[in-house]
Amino acid sequence: MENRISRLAALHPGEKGRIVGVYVRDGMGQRLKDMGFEPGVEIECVLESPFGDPAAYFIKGTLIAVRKEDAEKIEVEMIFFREPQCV
Amino acid sequence: MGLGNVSVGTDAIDCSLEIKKKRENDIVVALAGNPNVGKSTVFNGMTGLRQHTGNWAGKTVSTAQGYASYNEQGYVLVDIPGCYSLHTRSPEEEVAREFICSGIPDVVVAVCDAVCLERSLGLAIQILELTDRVVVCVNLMDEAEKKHIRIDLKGLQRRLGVPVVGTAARKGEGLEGVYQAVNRVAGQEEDRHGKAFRGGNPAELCQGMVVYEDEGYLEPDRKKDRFFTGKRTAAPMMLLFLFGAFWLTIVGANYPSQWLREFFSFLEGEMMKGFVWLGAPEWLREMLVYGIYRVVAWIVAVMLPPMAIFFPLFTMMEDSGYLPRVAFNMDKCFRKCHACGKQSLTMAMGFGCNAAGVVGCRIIDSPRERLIAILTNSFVPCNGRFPTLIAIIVMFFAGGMAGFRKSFAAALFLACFIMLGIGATFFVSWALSVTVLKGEPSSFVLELPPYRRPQVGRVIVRSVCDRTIFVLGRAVAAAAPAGAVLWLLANTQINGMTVLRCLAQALEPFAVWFGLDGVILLAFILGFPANEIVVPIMIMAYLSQGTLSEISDPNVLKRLLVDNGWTWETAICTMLFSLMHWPCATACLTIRKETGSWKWMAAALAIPTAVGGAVCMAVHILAAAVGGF
Repeated sequence: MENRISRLAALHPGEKGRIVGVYVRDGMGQRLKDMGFEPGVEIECVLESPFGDPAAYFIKGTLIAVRKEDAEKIEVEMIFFREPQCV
Repeated sequence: MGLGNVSVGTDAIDCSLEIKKKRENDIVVALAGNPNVGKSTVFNGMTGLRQHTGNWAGKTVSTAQGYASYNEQGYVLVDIPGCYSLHTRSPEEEVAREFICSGIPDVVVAVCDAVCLERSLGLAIQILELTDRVVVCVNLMDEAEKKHIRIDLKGLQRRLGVPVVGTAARKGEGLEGVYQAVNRVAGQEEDRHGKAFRGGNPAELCQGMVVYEDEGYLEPDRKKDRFFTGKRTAAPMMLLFLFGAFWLTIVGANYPSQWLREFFSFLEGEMMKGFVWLGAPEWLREMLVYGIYRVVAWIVAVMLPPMAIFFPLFTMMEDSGYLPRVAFNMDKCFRKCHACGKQSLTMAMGFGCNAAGVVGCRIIDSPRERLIAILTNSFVPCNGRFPTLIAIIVMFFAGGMAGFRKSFAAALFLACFIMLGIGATFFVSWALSVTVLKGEPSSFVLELPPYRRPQVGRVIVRSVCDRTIFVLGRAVAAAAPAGAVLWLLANTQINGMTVLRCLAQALEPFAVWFGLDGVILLAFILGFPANEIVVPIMIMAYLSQGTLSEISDPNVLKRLLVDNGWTWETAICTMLFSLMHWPCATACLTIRKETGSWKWMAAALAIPTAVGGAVCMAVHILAAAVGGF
């Protein structure tokens, strides 16, 4: 299975990826980096809020909630994902 | 605690950073670490102080200082608010960095979380880049053990080149080791530059030091999370918790409230006899007993029991780690209002005290969103208003029922009112962000901590004691003088009418528009120093007309109100106005301090008042239209 590059926001609960790049601007980018969002780090989508946004990700031993809007700006290499179901 | 330390209870002091040493050789220790690694618990364990702790990031927002001694050595401990790094430009992080660099602390204790050691060591490494005088304290060892995470503390110490101590601060374990390590580091004369670990990354550092013996250690938490944040289960659970807390409060407060009323009523008679026996003049006797004593007795009997029940319940929810999940669930709603989901955390704090809620708004990163949260915080009824709501509900809307049905109806009614307050919060947040506080919602990053079993016994003892002392203190500080002034107002006559009545009458034409009467409006105005005294003021004002021998029976109180023209409409409007009016004096001053502007403080006064006024007026007009039943 060839690993493909996607955005963090595309991960569904249960799917895993490895961070390639964080393109969130301003202070929030630094904050995310401090919380462990750095290239090379493994990340798993764990939960989705009942309204679909934000989602919570397991990273470096902690669970961190991030809004979809920010998760769109984080690039990941998928390492475990579910194939979209064929109709 | 089994420690040889004599804790000296200097109060936790806010941010001033003026180190109060008792002796010249006292060691100044700074506690630094990520949010929610238990810094405050370590601080409390060492100093014997009772900084509030909670299982969520950002509970401690201001620096606290305390004093401890161990084996004859004195320590000044400084609890720095949690931060994720020293590189960011957020105000908290700057405070932390400046304090560590200032050279004031002799030793910095870097508190880490054993459950996510790698992440929390990041900050410890950054601190090591600034100073060598560091002790790494790996806290929450008990939790790690439960999750079968094994940590090689000795190996870590070898790699880091500074003492590494494991603790379980909640149980008071390992704190002795912290003292010993601090002594060792403080005793080192020379700067051992280069010896300590620097420049490395935490992942390398943890290589081989942390062993996860049970890969499935996360599963129990995940299960709970799926339940508490699930599409179908999240909303019912939130409502259930809210309703359940109210119901338990109403049911539980009923009996102690009754006993206290009876006791105070008995004491009142005895006191009166005592004063007569002492030969005190009638005016003094009445001022002391009917003025001061009655107001204080009312507050203790009616306010204290609900507070003493609701607060521990709430603290347990806070300890369990459920609150951040609420913020997670609700974020989308806040986002729609261009606000931040963390606002639900500050609202939750508002239930305890709006001033505390306002200070808590510091956890919100964006200044615009923080301001919105500050301005809307008083829509959540604090402990001072909440029992008033319960008292009115029980008197007017659940009076006919009995037992279980009564408490159930009362809790449901109260929950509806709170939902109304939450609705108002959303509406005002939205209105502000499309008018004066325009802006797009900013980013939202929130840590969801592991669930912890709340320490039920400890929480109950703590909050009952703390609350009791706090409420009694406030009752004496605010209510007793107010009681004296009120009695004077109620008993000084101008043209055959008491001053209190005069004032009430002056307000009357204005108040009727809002479905209130002059006395109620006056009570809210005079209740500005503390919301707790609003109802006693009303009672006293009504009493200056008639007579009432005792307050032991709630039905007597209801009759008094009804005799003075209260209808269900008055009751609803009073409750609405209590929910939505200007915040108390303490909250106002806090808002002024937090926003740094009188203008925003004025806005914080005006907005809830305007909303409350409008809603009351609508109810009044509607009631008139329906014919007022």
